[in-house]
Amino acid sequence: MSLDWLTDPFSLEVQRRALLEVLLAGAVGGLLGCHVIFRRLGFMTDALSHAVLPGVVVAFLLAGAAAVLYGALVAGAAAAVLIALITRERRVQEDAAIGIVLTGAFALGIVLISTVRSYAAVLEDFLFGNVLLVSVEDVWLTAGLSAVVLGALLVFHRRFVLRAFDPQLAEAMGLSGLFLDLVLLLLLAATVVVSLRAIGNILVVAFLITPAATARLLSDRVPRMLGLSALIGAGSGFGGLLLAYHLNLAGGSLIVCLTTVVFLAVLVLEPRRGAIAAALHRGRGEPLGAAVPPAHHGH
Amino acid sequence: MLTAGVRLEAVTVRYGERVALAAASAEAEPGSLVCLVGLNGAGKSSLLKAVVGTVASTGGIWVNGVSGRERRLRLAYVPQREAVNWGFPISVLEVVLLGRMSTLRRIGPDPAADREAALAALTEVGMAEFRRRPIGELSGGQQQRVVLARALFAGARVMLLHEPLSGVDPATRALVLRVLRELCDRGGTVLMATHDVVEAASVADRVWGLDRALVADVEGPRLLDEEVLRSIYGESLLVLAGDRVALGDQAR
Repeated sequence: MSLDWLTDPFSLEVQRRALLEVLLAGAVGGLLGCHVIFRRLGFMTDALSHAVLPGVVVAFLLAGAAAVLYGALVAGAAAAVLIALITRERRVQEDAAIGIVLTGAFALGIVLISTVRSYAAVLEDFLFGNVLLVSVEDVWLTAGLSAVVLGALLVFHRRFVLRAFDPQLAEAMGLSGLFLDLVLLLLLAATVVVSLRAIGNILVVAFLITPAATARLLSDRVPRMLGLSALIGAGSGFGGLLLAYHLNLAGGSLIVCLTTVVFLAVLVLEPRRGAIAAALHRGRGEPLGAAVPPAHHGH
Repeated sequence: MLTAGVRLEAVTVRYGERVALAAASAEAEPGSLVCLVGLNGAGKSSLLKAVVGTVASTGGIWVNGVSGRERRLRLAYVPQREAVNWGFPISVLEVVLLGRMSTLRRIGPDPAADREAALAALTEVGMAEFRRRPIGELSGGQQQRVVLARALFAGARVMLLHEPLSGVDPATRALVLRVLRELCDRGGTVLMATHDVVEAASVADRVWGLDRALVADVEGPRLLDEEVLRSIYGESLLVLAGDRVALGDQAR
């Protein structure tokens, strides 16, 4: 394999912009995705990503394609606040609240989009992304949002960790659960927007869950998990674009397929606790994860 | 007024219409270990959470002479075991370091002084050699020691604990009691909720018996007097012969 195989897909400026876009989206999605996994917010993330659609469409109708990401940002923030507030209402179950916001907002987006004459093509770009349409301005917005998310993750890191690990102690120490949840949801909304161009509305969740879930299989420590997750997200973005160029297939969807393949491979092949290691250990009659002594629970 | 310890004045906790704790007034002196006993739903958790400030209450609460939100800074808290996500990917030392507000707000690595203090707390509970292990790999008793170390690392002189001895091995039980007693000997105050009446009678300086109100405030050994037990447990008290006590199922 020559070096050209690696560099050809990125010889044009538009391709390099696409690469920068997926690297940022993959890395930021991977980092924030760890907190999604810690707080079991997978379904919530799905709802948020779908809830940005009406914002995207309204911005497109009012100001054209350049305004799309700003519309998504406003709609995402609004949905984050709405979900946080609805879930405080005890008579509505959290999963019901999320389902209502998800389907309601997504349907509203489709209704709005159906007013456009070239309806199908526009919808396709929103739903599945088209990373080669990324403009210079889009890249700047993505970079700006990524910087905000990274900064906030640094500042709130330990408070997020304590809220996920021991929520009662977090409350006892005066940390507001509602405030921390709102910050996390707003960061999620920003990350959804970051990923929108790259892999589209439907698949955004993949960047926020799959790399982090894969990293969790490989690590028992938060810092290592964060690093691995960012690496897997960005690596899948790079690999997906590479394959898309050579195989002439859809880039965004290939990226998501790649994250899934990596996850499944780790699930099966991981040397300590993967499926194959587990089968071998069973064959030898050894306990799983023999590198560490088994836990004896006091109950 | 007490300038140290914990003082309650007509503390009432309501969840909607339901009164979980009615007008409890009591004082836990510095140097004393107080056990909270009562049936499920008698108000043990509500009282602890009211002192910590995580449920709304009326009346007055002073921790080391301080009331209002500021009192949170004067106490260390060991929550219910069931509320903790033990599968979280975090090491034993990192768990302990979460115990102080100053480390929670920090960006980047901890200074050596904090790490040494956290390690000293782990040494006190016999868990220093486990500092790099993921918390999820430890036994229930070992996990309980680690959260006790986290409360010690917080450096507060008042400690509140939810059932710290339930489901732990005898060695851990002895160690937890020794550490709490040492804290009291240094002038600290311990409030501890427990289901075990015999244990409360043997280890506590005072026992607060709860039945949606404070119905008994006695010295530890006096808890086993029949009239005291009846005032706390009412009809749930099944057998009383010599020093043997049996409680109905819902008391467990």
